[in-house]
Amino acid sequence: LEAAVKLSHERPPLGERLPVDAAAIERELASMWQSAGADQGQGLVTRACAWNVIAHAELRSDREGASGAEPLIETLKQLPQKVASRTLILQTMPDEADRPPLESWISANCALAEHGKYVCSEEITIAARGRGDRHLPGLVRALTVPDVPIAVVFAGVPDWSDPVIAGLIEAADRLVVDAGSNARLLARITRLPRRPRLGAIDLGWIDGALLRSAIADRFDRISSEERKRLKRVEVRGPAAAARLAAGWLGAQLQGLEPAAMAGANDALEARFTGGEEIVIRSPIVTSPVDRLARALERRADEAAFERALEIARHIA
Amino acid sequence: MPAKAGCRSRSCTEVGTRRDCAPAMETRPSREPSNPLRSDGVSERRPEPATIVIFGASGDLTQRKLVPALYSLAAERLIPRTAIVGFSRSDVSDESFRSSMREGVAAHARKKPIDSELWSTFGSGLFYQRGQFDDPASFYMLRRRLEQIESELGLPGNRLFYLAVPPSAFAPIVQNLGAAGLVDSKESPFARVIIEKPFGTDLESARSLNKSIRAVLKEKQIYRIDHYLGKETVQNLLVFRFANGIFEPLWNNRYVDHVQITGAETLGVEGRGGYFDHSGNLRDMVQNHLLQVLALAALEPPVHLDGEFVRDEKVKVLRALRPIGKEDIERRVIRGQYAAGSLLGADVPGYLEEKGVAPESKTETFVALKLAIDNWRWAGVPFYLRSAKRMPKRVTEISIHFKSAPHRLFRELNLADAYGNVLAIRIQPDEGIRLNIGTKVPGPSSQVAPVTMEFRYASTFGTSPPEAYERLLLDSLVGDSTLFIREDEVDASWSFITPIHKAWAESNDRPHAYAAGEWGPAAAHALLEKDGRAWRRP
Repeated sequence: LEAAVKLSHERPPLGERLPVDAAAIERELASMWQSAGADQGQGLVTRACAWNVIAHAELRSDREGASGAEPLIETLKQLPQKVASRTLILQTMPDEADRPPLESWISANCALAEHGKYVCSEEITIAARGRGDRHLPGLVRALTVPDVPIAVVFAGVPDWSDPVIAGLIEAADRLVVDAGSNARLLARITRLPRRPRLGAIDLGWIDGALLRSAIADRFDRISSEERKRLKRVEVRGPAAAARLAAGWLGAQLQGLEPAAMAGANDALEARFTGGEEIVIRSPIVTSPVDRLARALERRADEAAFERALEIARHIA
Repeated sequence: MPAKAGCRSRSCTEVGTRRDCAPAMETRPSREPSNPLRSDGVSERRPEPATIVIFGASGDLTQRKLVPALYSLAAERLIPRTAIVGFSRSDVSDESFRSSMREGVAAHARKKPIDSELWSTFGSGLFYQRGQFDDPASFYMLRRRLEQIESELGLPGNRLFYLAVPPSAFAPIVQNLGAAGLVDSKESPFARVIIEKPFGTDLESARSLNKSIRAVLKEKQIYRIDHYLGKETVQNLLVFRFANGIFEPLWNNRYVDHVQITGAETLGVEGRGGYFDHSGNLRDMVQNHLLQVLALAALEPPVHLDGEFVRDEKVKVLRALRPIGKEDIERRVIRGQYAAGSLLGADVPGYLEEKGVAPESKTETFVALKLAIDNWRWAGVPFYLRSAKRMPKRVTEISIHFKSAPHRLFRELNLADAYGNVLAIRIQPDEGIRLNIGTKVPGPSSQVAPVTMEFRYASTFGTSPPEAYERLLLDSLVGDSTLFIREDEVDASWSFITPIHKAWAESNDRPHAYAAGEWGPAAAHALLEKDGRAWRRP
């Protein structure tokens, strides 16, 4: 009897995934923290949250814009090491209608901080099968932490007119999308409904940060006459990142014809022609978790991204 | 003369043409103990032994809240030996009543598991008396039973009558209590009556009910309960504001942009469609709970924390509410009704599909109001209230939204601007306080991010706060009426609410629809958006 009683009150240690009923997630999280506090001693565990990060990952490979779900989920699991956040991982499996429509799990990601405390973030995973995804917007409304911003991260670029997607982003401050190798998806980003406070960023823009910086450095040493002689720039690299970099150059340097070509996945290269040829290469060094953390920052170059996107979507 | 100290101008209440002066014993009963051993600061709030009679003893409230609360008080040794007598129409034996209450205590008491030794004492003090609320003979039988129990247990004859019954039974019970000589107004032994909400359905019915009750009871004997006032965080509003030097200077129209009060439930009508359809959220939640919370958030500092002084200040706030009439109801009040939707992972039906609800019902399950308090402190500061069923999460909170910095140096990279400086006082669940501020993100840029400083009762004090009913039952036994609603408060709140109901009754408009699981209809969002504000995401 003693063993049975003990088991019924035990909670798995932090970090272990605990299956819970979707309607009881918040209560179970509170219980988990209470238990963690008791296990680790008074004051040794800090529950931290600076962002609500909601990841929407559709586990179906045949749909345009839905690739990269598994890598995104892995990245999300590491994000709390960089950004204290409550992470909601929403896995949708539209083709799996024969299993329970909703399943959910909670866990905590903890890291031992310098001051000897564990700083922990919460992770909630919800698997929605078949039409179970219709419940996701309501669950997101119930599970976001107040007073901290909401970011919604997509594997790919979703169809904004989908009612589930519209429900997920209704309170978002930031959307992070990933057109990746499918440059056609850049046009879809621009169809995002305009709303105050809401900013969107493609991870390809983050990938191009080093290249943009290197080009700006190089252009510090170019005279205006020389710059005017440049007629064309061709950027090679991952499709969306290359187009966004080319679009940025097209927007910033009037009279320059931007073009983009497929290239290596780990680097971007810009080749300026017309005058003296200039070639600038830059690696894409950021780890997936770093680029996601950077995408959450409010950036001074948001307006530049929007201008670049407008041109990038028209680049052949 | 000390006994008249409470009859200075601040402790006198005016209702209609009547002037009611409270003697000192009413305002400071626990401060003038007859037993010097109760003045040691530890045991001063321990009440005298008493008998508690619960009318409506077969109801949910008794089993889920009242008796578990009394058990928890006994477990914490906050009440002395007490007899509890259940009174209802059902034919139930003492033993059966005890068994049913034991189940209630096991399931709902804060103190778990049941302590067998404590239960043997506590349970033996439970009795049941069958009777009709409108039958005078039942009350004479009750009186004899009480005298017998009190004689057997050596109780001094202090009696607390709890009316956990439908409102239609309030007046007959009180009249029969009076006729049976059970509610003499003498100080000792005392006879007090706790009356559950709703206290009337409009101004007229509330006044009528007050009149019939006051024909039997003195105001000092009446404890109109609003369980919200027993919640720790609601009480902490006074402590937070008046025990700290740093907040009160900011608590005015110079620094506060606006205030939001949210009372959100995930529940629908839960089988009470018939009752709720005649009530609606404005009556069921706003007239009592939310207006009481508003009054505590907005009141002026009372000169003393004893009952009458706090209640004097609350009623001033309620009287300062700018009336909402037919001409401005559309600008200041939004009513909604939930349609079918998804809530916490489940499909739920719309209000009109609920059992007991009229097919064309216009009863509001959502109400949002923009209130103005016309006084010196709050001139120009809107108070936005919303109360609703079938919301995404259950939460009751007050949020004080402070004005932005006058010159915004960090406009460009400032995500915190969207969140502002907000002080959120969470009443339930997860009671606590959050202060939202903007802070620099580490690194070379001047990025400003919103962060929160947070206090949670459960983690700070290592225990959940007591149930509201524990505090309120204890207070009523002690004779402290601070957290109960006075007649003039009821009058003032109905005076504000009734014109809204009248305007709705004359309107052909239907409530705005919202899907269950959403934060209300679009019109409710527009109510704030047109003022350049937005509802807080709780």
